[in-house]
Amino acid sequence: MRNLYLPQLMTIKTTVQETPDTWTFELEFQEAALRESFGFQPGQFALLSAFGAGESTLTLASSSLRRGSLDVTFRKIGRVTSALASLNAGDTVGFRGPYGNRFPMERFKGKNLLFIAGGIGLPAITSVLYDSLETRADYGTITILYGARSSKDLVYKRQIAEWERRSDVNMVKTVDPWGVTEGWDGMVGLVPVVLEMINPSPDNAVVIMCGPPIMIKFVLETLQKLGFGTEQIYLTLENKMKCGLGKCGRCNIGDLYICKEGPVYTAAETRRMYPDF
Amino acid sequence: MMLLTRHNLDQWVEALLGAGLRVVGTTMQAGQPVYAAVTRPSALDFSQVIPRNSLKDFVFPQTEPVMLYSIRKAGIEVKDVKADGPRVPDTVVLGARPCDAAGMAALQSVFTWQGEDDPLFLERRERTTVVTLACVRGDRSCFCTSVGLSPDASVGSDVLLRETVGGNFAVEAVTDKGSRLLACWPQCFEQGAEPLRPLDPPPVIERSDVEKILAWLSDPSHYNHDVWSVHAATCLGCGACTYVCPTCHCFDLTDEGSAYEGERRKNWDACQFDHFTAHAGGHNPRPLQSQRWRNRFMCKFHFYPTKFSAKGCVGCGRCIRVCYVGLDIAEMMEKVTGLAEANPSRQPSGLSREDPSPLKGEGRAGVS
Amino acid sequence: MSNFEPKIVGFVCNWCTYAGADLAGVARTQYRPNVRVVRVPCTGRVDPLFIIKAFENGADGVLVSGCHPGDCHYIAGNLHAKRRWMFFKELTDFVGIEPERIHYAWVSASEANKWAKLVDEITETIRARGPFSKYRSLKDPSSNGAHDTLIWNEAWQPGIPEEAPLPEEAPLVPALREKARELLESGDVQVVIGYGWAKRQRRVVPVFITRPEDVSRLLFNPLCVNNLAVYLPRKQQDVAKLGRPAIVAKGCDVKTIVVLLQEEQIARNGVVILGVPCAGVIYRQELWQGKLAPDLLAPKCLRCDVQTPHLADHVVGDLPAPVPEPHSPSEVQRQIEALDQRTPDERWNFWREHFERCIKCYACSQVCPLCYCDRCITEKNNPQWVETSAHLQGNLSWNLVRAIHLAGRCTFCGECDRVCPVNIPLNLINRKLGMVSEESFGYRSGYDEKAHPPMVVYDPGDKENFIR
Repeated sequence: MRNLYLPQLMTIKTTVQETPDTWTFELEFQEAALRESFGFQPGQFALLSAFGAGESTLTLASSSLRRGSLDVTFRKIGRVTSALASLNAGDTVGFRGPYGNRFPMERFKGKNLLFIAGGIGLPAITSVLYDSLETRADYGTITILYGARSSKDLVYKRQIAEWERRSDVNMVKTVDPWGVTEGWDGMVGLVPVVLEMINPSPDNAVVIMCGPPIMIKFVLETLQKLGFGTEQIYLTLENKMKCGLGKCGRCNIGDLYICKEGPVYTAAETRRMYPDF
Repeated sequence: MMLLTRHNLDQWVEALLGAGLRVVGTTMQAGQPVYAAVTRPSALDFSQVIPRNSLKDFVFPQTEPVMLYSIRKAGIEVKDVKADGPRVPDTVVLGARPCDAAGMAALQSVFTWQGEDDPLFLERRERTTVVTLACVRGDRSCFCTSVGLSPDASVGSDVLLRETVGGNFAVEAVTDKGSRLLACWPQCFEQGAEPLRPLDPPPVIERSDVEKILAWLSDPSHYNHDVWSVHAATCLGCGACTYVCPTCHCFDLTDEGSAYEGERRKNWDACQFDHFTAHAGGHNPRPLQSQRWRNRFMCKFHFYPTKFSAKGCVGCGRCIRVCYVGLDIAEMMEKVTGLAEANPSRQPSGLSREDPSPLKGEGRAGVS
Repeated sequence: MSNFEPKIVGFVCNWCTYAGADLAGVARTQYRPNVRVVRVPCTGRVDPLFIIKAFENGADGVLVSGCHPGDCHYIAGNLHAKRRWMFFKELTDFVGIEPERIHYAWVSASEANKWAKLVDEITETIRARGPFSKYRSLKDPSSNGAHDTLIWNEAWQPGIPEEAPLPEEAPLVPALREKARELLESGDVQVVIGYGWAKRQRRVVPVFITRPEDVSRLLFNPLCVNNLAVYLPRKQQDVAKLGRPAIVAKGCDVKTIVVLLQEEQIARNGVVILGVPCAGVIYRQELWQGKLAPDLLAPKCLRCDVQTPHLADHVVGDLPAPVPEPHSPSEVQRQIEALDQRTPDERWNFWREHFERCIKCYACSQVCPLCYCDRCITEKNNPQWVETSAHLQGNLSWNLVRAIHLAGRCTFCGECDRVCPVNIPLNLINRKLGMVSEESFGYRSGYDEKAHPPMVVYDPGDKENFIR
C-alpha cells in the first residue's frame, strides 16, 4: 500500500520573483515517467515540501493541458513559504497531489468568462484561464479583472501584458487608489468599484474568482447588484491544511473538508456553509 | 458455549507471548489502570472500570515518522518508513472495553475515508486483534448507552468475552480474524455452560437523543447559538479531552531534524488548541475557545456520522473524567437535545446575525 | 574513548569573550579546537533554549561566556544573564544533566590566556565524561521503563465518591452570594468568576455568573481547589467579552493575581477581587470522605501564610477553623530533597521515566494563569524552537522551557501537577525553582505587586559559585 504521505521529488526549473514577496516556480518531476503521465484538473492543489521546513498548500497555477512541467506561485509568509523562497533553480522540492475538486470546465463552455482576482488570488484561477485560452473558440468573451495594492504587487506582470495585447481577451488591471505609482497605465480603484464600472452582463456568464476575504465580500455584493445569481459564481476557498487527504481534521469549514470536498465551490454553496471562516 | 477458564486465560497469555505476539491488556501502572503491553499473565487486571488511555495509542501513536529525508549536495533523498519491513509486532488486545473497540471502528472509517487509505494506520490495525471484555459495571462518567452502544457491544471487536459467575469467560468470535485467532490455540478453550454475570449498563442520560442532536447541528443557522459561549466558556483549551478520546484523530505533520537529515512526523493535535486553525497570514477562523469547543462537539455528533458513517462519541467518559474545569459532554448533549425539542422545525432558532453575541468574531466570507 | 573528541558549543559575547578568543588566535596560542563558537551581542541574549538546542543537535557540552560584571557593553546584560543562569543551572542539575556539561565564565577581551586555559579544561572535563549519549538517546524509540510510585494515589474518577457526604458550605457563602449579587446588579461587574457544583459529576467546577439571579450557584468549601485566576489574562477572550470580572479568590489565587498585576496582564481596577479566607483545600476531590484530613491537603496549603487574602477589594467572611498540618514535612519537599541527594544519572532516569509519558497535551500550560502568551514558544514555527513531537527529546525541552519561563514567577498553585493527565510530578520542578528564587534572591512571588520578579531585575551583589 502506497504511503500517502510520501512526496514525489520535483526539481525547480526556473524561478521568477513576481513581487517583493511572491515567487513563481516552474517545477518538473525528477522521475521521467511522472513527467509524461502526470496530469491535474484546473483548480486542484498540491502540498509542496521544503524539506526541513514542512509542507504548504499551493494551487497548481499553470494550464492543466501542459505536459512536462507545472507552475506554482506563492507568497512568502510563514515557515514553509520562507524556506521555499530561499530555493533556486536546480533545487529539489517535494510534491503531494493533485488534491481537491476542480472547476467544472464543461459547464463553462460556450459561456462568457469573467475572472476576478485580487493580489495573490490570481494564481489560484489561472489554470482555468490558461485552459480556456488553449481552446479559445469554446468560450464566449473572456474578461480578466485583476487588482493589487500597487503596481509592484501585481503578479504575472509579463502575462498581464500579453493578455492586454490579445484582442480576444479584455484585460482590466487596477491598483488601489493609494498605490498608484508613476507610469501606471491601468485603472485606479478597488476591485469591486472597478467591477461596477465595467458593468459586465450576467447573461450567459460565469464568474471565477479568488482574492482576500474583504474583496470577496464586496465583489459578491456588487455582482448581486449587477444581477448575477450565486450559481454563476465560482470561488476557490482556502483554509489551513496539513494532510490534504481529509484525515487531519484541520481544514473543515463546518462539516465540509476543503481538501476533499473543495476547494472549488459556487457562491450558492458558500452561502449555505456554516460560518466557520 | 465456548469457555475460557481463568486458568486457561493465563495459559493463553503465555502461549501468545511465547509465539512472539505483543499482548496489550488492561493493567495497573503506578496506581493507574492503563492499556499497556504485559509480559506475564499476572499483570492483567480486569477489575477497573476503564483504562486511562484508549486503544488509539496502539493504532495511531501520539508521534510517528511518516517519511525520512536526507539533504546532500548531490540532491535530496526521501525514504519511506515502511521500507524496512513491519514496524509493529502482531498484537492481541486482551480486555478492550466495548467503547474503545467502537473507537477503533471510528478511526478506521476516518483513515480510509474517500478511498484514501492511510497505510501507517492500517498496518497497525491489521496486525491488531481486539478481544473485548464486556463491562459488568460502569461509573457515573460512562454513557455508552446514550450513544447507541452497550456494555456488550461488539462493533470494532474481533472476539467478545463475557464474564461468567464462576469467574471464567464466555467466548464469542465476532469476525473472521477473531475466529482465526481462537483457532490457533484450541487447547485454551473448552465447551461448557455457565451463567453469565449480569451487566449493569450505565443509565441512559435523560433527555439526550443523538438523532435530535444531529438534526439540530445540521442546521447552519444554529452555529452561532449562545449555548456554546454560555456553557463552554470555562474551557481552557488544554486538549486533554482530545488526547484521551478514542475517536479524536486530528494530527499535525511537521519536519524535524538537522540541516542534513530529518524526518516528517505525524503528531497528535487538537482542534481545541488556539492556533489549530490559524493561518500563516494571521487570520484565525476560530479565535474563541467556545468556538473551538463547538467544533469538537459538532465533529463528534455531526461530522462523524454524516461524513464517516461512524460514531464520533462512544460514551467512554474519559473527557469528562480528565477535564479539570468539569466540562461535561453528556450535559451538553442534554442541552442541545433540549434546544432541538424546543424548536423541532429547521427554522433558525438562535440569534440573528445582528445580535451582539460573543461568538461574532469576524464573521465574513473568508475566502481567498 | 581516548579518541573521543567532544563537540562543545560556545555562546560568547561579541565584546569581551569573542575578542579575547580572537586575541588568543592572534597570539598563536595553542589550545583545543573542540569549541564551536557562536557569537552573540551579549550574554544577555543567550536564551536557555539555545543550550537545550545545542544538546539536541549533538553537542557534548556547552560553554557560555561573556564580559565580567560591570564591564558589559550594554551595561547590565551580563547581570541579567547571571540571574538566568543561576536558575537554569539549578534546573539542569535537578533534571540530571551533569554540571560538567554546561560551563559559564567571564572572559574579558584581554584574557586570551584565560580563554585558552578555559577551553582546554572544559574539553578535558567533557572528554572524561564521554559523549552525551544519554541526551541523544532521547530520540530513540522509548522502552518500557518501570514507573516510580507516584506521590498521590488518586482514582480515575474525579468528583467525590458516591457514598461520601457532600461538603458543608462555608459560613461565608451567603455573604459571598450577596456581594456578588450587589456587584452584578449595580453593573460594577458583568461576570463573577467563582466556584459552582456540577451535580452529575459530584465535583466543584469553575462557573461564570452573569445574571444576579444565578448567584445561588456560587459556593465555597474545601473542594474549591481550582485557581480561577487563569481566566483573567487577556488571552481569555470569551471572558473578556463578557465584561469586567469579579473573581472569587483564595489567598493562593490572590498571589497569582499579584503576579498578573506585576506583569500588567490586568489593571488593578480591571478586576474586583472577592477574597475568601480559606483554611485549606483538598488536592484531589475524589479522595473526599467528609472532612478535610491533613493528608489530603493540597501541597500549596502546607504552611500557608495567606489564609486571609492579602490583596482584595472585599474580604468576605472570617477564617474557618484551622486544619492541622501533617507532622511530616511536605511530600513535595521530601521528594525534592531526596532527588537532590541522588546522582545526576539517577535524577536523569527519574525524569526520563516521567517525561516518557508526556503526551504534549499542554494542559499544564493552559491551566497555568501565568502561561498567558498569546503565541507560546512551542507554537512558534519559524524556526521551530521546541519540537512538538511527543518523543522524549521534545518532552524534555518543553518541560525545561516551561520551567525556566516560570522561574521567579510561579506561585506554586500546583494546578499544573493536578491536571497532568499522565501524572508527571510538575510540582517538584516548579517548587524547586521557587526555592532557588527564595534562597538565592530572597524573593517570594505573589506577595507584593510593586516588587519586581527576580528575572526582571539584577543585583550586582548576587552570589554564585559556579561562574569562572
